[in-house]
Formats: sequence, C-alpha cells, structure tokens
Amino acid sequence: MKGRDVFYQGNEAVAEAALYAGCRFFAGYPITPSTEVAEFLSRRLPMIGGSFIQMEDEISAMAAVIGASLVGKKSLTATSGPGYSLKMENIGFACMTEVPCVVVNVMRGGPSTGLPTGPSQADVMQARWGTHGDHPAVALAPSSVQEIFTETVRAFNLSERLRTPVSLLTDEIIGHMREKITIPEEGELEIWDRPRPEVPPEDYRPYDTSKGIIPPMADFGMGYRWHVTGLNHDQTGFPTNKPELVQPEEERLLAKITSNLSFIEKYEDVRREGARVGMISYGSSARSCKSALSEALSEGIPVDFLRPVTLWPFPERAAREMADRVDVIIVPEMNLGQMILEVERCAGGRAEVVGVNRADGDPITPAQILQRIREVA
Amino acid sequence: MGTNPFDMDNIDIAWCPGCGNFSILETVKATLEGLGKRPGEVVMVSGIGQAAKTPHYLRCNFFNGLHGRALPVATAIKASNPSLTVIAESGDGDMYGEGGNHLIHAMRRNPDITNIIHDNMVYGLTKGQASPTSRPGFVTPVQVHGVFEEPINPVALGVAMSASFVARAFSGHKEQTARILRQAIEHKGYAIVDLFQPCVTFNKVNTFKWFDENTHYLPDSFDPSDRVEAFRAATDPGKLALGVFYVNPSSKPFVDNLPAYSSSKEPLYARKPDREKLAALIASRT
Amino acid sequence: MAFDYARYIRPGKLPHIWCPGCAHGIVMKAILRAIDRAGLDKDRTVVVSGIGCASRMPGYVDFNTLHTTHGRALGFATGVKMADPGLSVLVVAGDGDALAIGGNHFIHACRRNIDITLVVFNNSIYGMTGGQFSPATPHGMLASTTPYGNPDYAFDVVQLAMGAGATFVSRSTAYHVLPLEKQIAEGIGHKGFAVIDALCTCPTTFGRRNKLGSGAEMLLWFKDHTIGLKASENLPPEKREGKILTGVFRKEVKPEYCEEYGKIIEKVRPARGGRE
Repeated sequence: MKGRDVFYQGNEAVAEAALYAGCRFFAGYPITPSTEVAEFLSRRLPMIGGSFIQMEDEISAMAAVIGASLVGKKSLTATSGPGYSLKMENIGFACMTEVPCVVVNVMRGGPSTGLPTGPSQADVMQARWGTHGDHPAVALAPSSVQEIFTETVRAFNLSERLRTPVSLLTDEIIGHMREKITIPEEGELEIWDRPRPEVPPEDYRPYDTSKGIIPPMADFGMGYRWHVTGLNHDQTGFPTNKPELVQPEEERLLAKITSNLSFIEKYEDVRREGARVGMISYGSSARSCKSALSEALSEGIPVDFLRPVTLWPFPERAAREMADRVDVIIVPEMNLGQMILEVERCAGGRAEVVGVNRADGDPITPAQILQRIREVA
Repeated sequence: MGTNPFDMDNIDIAWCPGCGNFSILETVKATLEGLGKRPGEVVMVSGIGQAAKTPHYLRCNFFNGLHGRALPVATAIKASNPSLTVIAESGDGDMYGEGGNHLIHAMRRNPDITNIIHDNMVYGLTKGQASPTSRPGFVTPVQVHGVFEEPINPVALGVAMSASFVARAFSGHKEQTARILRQAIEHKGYAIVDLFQPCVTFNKVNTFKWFDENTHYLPDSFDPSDRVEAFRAATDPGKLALGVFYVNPSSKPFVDNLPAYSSSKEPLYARKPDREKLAALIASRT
Repeated sequence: MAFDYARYIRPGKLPHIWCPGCAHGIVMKAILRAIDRAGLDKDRTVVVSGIGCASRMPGYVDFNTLHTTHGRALGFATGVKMADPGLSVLVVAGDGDALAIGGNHFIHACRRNIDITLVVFNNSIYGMTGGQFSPATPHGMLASTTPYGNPDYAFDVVQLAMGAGATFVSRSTAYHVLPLEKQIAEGIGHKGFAVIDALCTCPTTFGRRNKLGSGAEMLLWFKDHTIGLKASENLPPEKREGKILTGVFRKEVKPEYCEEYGKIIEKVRPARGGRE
C-alpha cells in the first residue's frame, strides 16, 4: 500500500481513518479507554471544516451524531462499555430510520464500571442485540492498528452503503497499543457515500425501494422536506401500524444485511493439511491465537483458523465448513463465552466446541491457547 | 493521626499528591465527627470520577454507583430509612454533566440529603477534558482552542429552582468549608454545596492560588432567605462568592410528602409485609 | 387576510392525534404563524421532537422534520445545527419529554447557547401514556400515578431556563395566542438558545381527573390566572398572589455556539486552495 508511515495508537488510527473515510462530525463524552479518539478529532476536524462537540452525556452525543448525519455529514462517536449501553436507545433509532453513522466501542471489562483500563471482548453480543426490537447489526472487529485503519474506513463505507449504524469493536489493548501503520494515499481505499435521491423533491419517497433494497437518502436542508420517525413507518416515512406495511419494512431492515453478505462479510480463513482441530477468534485475542498456532504447528499439530473481521453478521458458512472439517473447534475470547454460542449454533453438533475464556482484565496468552490445543488434539 | 471514627486504616488513595480532594476528605470527616455522627448512621453515595472515589476512603456505609447516577440512589436510601445521614458526593463532570438531570430533579423533589460536588472545573479521571464548569478560554486536549461555552452555574441554578439549601465553598479554606458543610448536613432538605477544589494535574489555570484570589465570602449581613439577592450574588460577574446563598424557608422534604409516611413513621425498610392487609387489598380490587 | 395554514401543513396528514379540547393545535398554529412572521424558508427549516403528544407535531408540518427518541430532541437538534449552521432549527417537546427524561439536555442546551428555538408544550401531565404526573404537575394535584396527590414540586420552566443560563426565556399560554406567536417569532429571531414555555391544556388526562372543566374552561383559567410581566410590576403583592407571570423574562446577547465554533474553523483551517 502506498502512503505515509506513522507510529499510531489504535485510537488515533480510528480518528485518522474516520477523516480519510470522509467523517466531518464527531460528538462524544469523555470515557476511558476511548478518549484519544475525541482528542485527535477535536484537533483535526475544524482544520478541514468539520465539527467536534463534547456533549453532556453519551446519550445526547449519539443523538447529535444522527442529527448531523441527517444533514449529510458522515458522523462518528467513540465510547466504551458504559457509554455504549447509554447509546443503545439511539442506535436503535438509527437502525429504524436508516441513518448512517459509526460507533466505536473500545471494549473494557464489565458489566457496569468494571475495569476501565482493562481489555475485554464482553460487548460482542451487545453489539448484536443491544438495542430493543428486531434490528440489523453490523459490527467489525479489527486485530491490529493497521486493520483498525482499514476497518474504520470500511465501517463508514458499510454504514453509508447499507444506511445503518455500524459498530467498530476494538478493545483496550489495540486501542492503546502503538504500531507502525501506513496511512494510504487518497484513492488507495475506496470510499462510499450513501445513495442520494435522483428524483425531484415532489417525487421523493424516503423509503422507496423500487430501485433497490437501500432507499436513497436526502440531506436535510436540500429541498426534500421529509419526515423521519422512530415509529414504524411506510415508504413515505410517515407512521403506520398497518401489519401489512410494518412486516415488510421490518423484514427489509434485516434483508439489507442478509442480501449483501458478499461485501459485508470479511474474514481470514486459514486451512491446514490434515487439521482435526479448528480455532475461531477475533480482535486482539486473535493475535495470541496466531502465536499459539505456529507453536502448535511446530509441535506437529496443524490447526485451522477462522478470524472474523466482520463479527456481525457472523460468517456462518465459513464456520459451518470448519465444523465439517474438524473434530473440535476452540474459541478463545476475552469474556466468559459469547461468540462461542454462535459457533456452537453453526457447528450444530458436527464438531465439539470448547472455549478459552478470560475476563480478568488481562489478555489471553498464547500459552493458555496452546495448552488447550494440546488438550484437545 | 487523630482518632476520628471515620478514619480508615491502610488505604491506598488514588489521588495525585496535592489534590484538593484530600482536604475535602479531612473536612468531611471532621464535620461528621463534630456533628456527633457515627459511621454506622452515615451513607455516602457517589458516581464515577476522582471525587467519586471519596467514599472508599472513609469509614461509613457507601455506595459507589454509576457515572452521574448518585442522586436517585441517595434519594431512595433516605426514603427507605430517614434516620440515616445521606451524603451524595461526586465531581463536577459527574453531577453537572452526566448527572445534570438528576441534579435538577433532586432540587425539585427535595430529599433530605447533602450533595457535595468537588468542583475542579475539569474531568480528572479521564485526563483533562473540559467539564460543565470549565471556564471560557480553558484549553484541554479536547477543547484545543479553548472552552467557549458558558459554564453551568450550579449556585444560580439552585437559587432559580428554589432549592432548599444552596452554598459554595473552597477546599483551601478548611474552617469556613467545615462551617458550610455542617450547616448543609444539619439542614433538613436537599442541600447542595458546590465545593471548589484545585486539580493539580489537569487544571493549571484554576489553581489553589486562583481560587484564593478569585473568590470572596458573602458578607455577614447577607440574608440567605432573600432569593432575589441570592440570584444576584450567584450571577455576579465579578469574583465568585462563597458561603450560603439561599435557604428556602418553606421547603418540605420529600419524605414528609410521601403518603407512605403519613400514617406511620416506621421506616420503609423495617416494615414487614402484612398478609392480612395484602389479602384485603387484593379483595378490595382498588 | 386569513392566515394560510395550508402552506405549512402537509397534505393528507390531518386529522391529528390530539383529543378534542387539547390546546396543542393552538400552539402548533402559533408556531406556524411565528415561522411565517420570521420569514423562514421551509426547505432550510428543521423541526425536531422527542416522544409524546406534542412531539407528533412535526409529522403534520411541511419542513424537514425529525421525530426522535424520548427526551433526546435537543441532542439531535444540536447535531443538525452544528452540521449546517445555516439551518433554522426548532424543537417542540412536551413537559415530560423536555423536563423529565430530557432535563439534562435541556439545561445543557441553555448553557451552550446554540441557536435553537425550543417550544415547551407544557400541559402539566404525561398525556400520551394516559395521565401520569410530570415534572410540571403542580404539587398536590392528581394523576394516574399520584392517586394521593403529587408529592413532588413542579418545575418552573422559566426559572429553570434562566438559572441554567438560557439567553431568551419567555412564557405565554394557549389562551394568549397573539403574545405566544410573537414570543416564538422573537425566539426564532434570537441568535442563541430560546425557550418558550407555552402553557397548554390536557382536559382528557389532567383536567378530568382534577375536575378542571372542559378544554375551553381550562383555557379561561389561564386568562384569569396569568398576569403580564410588565403589568405585574405596578401591582401590589396581594394582586400578584397565585398568578402565573407571562412575557419575555430574558433576552440577552451572548456568543452563540456555532458562531464561536465557526471562528475556530476560520482560525485553524489552512487557506483554501485545493481539496479539504
């Protein structure tokens, strides 16, 4: 990749990548271990005519992000567990109204205040099911600072293309860790903008799906005086409670994801000759896995490895295929067993599924994982 | 060290050396002792932040809850057991930022609790962002070009809302602060004490010296029952006044308005379910 | 000439959901006349609301409209305004929405002095959920959740806004339609955060339970129990007793949030020649 080399912290990479993706609005509230994202953007956004605001709490920060996006600005907020909980109400609003926005959750131990300076991966189910009601969810889980950059850009792209909020799940380890990364030159990574209406305002229907499952979205202030509501609505955007109109719209929200897996899904799938053991891990835990896997290989134990970068939707097909190939799947994660439930569902009894779990604020070590590999191999 | 009953042994205090929190802790303990309180009858409730760690450092009942959420918990503790002395203690970001809504509703609801806000005009725990009381021009890693919003004025807000007891103090003046805290704790009703405190690490502007030079005490002749005068003093653009600004002469504490206490003074926590009454209630279908 | 409401009402969106006797329609009409008086461009005007009876108003009116989550309208509106300070932004909210669940956003918007006009449809009750007591329900009054009388004391919206630092603060009622319209227009014209406490009636869930009569009788109560701020100054205290003051309580010029932020952008933005 052509570009500029820098020595960045994960949180700085989020902020730099957001600007690269076209983000021009940030609203947030101080919380450890995410605050560096706000610090970086408070400095840089006004330099390019963007806006930064520190709100009175996380709830209003999420609200402001959605408001700015409705005016046409790509918008971001960054937080950690307790703030992510508070944002859930308005994330649901963004799902329902199909307003693009990106939410970064630098995961720390929990529940509640938990371990503000200790890493965790315990919010992965919250990222899927955190807000009430049936709702779409896209969540990405990068493993390195370079990947934080590319996945932040992809989070904006997915959010814009799908018109849905996207969560970027990092954690205290990669949020604060510094690595050399390359900031790509302009044009190196593709940038997507939300579809905008091509019809005149009088013909505009905000949730018109005649041209495709993702309806074009008009900016507030450009002459398309449309109505946005968190109530169930029909294609005109106005509230309805007619079952025959509600059901298809609810189904479409989910279908936006399921019918676009080709560009949403992303994972690393390493297959090794003769592997009877598989491993599925994500985020910073996947780093420990890689170290353990090469150790295991040198001991003569080949292990297949699946690393979802897009965590939600979960790469079901790849997980099923792994279950068909191996006897045991190991799922290391920094929580007491969350993504393992998805793996078990996909395995459907065709492979045994075991976890390597840790929730004490320290990362899972390669030695722990290697020990588990030896136990099951 | 002395033998204050609220002292705790062998504690590892997380505050920076020179932090104003130390003197607040000492003053609170001395005030409680001076009032003859025993640790068992005092409850301290806090949220999240450096100031919110205070309850970890003195011997009493404590509840260290969620960011901004101390006041609803304190209100319910007092309602369940009115014999307790309940103190809600946190910082400016916690009480005025995240918890601002609970603050104004506590003023309105008037539970008989003391609300001490360590006001150092900065978020210390998250390393130095502007708080709702940061003053214009204050530069931080996030407010890189300086704060330009009007800070929240908790004293003016309290007076405007006819809060039961409204005061401001400065941690550097232990004696005066102790007097104000004493009045606040003894006051029957919601008492807010906005307590200035330097943050030696993240606020290099509002230092001990700054507070000393930019504050003055309300004169002895000041009448805290005069709400108009109190509001004027609270919004005076000059030096920041310290002292008791306002005491609402007609305020009635929350518990006194609760129907549950109209026929019996027995605290809620001590009441046992009365099966006969319950059966009668179910049968009555009201 | 009669005012042409049709110019501002979305075709086919009426009837509204409000009950007979509800004063929300009166306040909505005052807002539309005020917008007209202030000369706002429909395409460049955004009306934001939260949840509740009053918050349904944006669905009926022909602007960019945003019906959000309970209590959060000011947060959304802040994002809208900052993203494009050239837009005119109004927020409509009931008393439960603006003052209970949205109370924190309310005081911080006052403090921030962002150029948004907030009209509080203050009917002293949660109407949409069937008459629970709100932060504006007077002490002692009955609601579905205060069967023994309200133990809490009501917010005085004007005092709260002034204490929190709002730069334009006024109060009128649904009975006093002309002053209400004028205040809203003045609030829109004011460069900064404007709060208009619009007292209105809920005969269905508040009036009936407290035996306050019909919607019309409740409006007449406003006539008899309010007094203009200026007129009150010349009255002896006994004549002011028990009256609600109306009028413009504060109007002062202070730096506006987006303008101040705009100065920062001007200061740090490199000379524009090429791309951003």
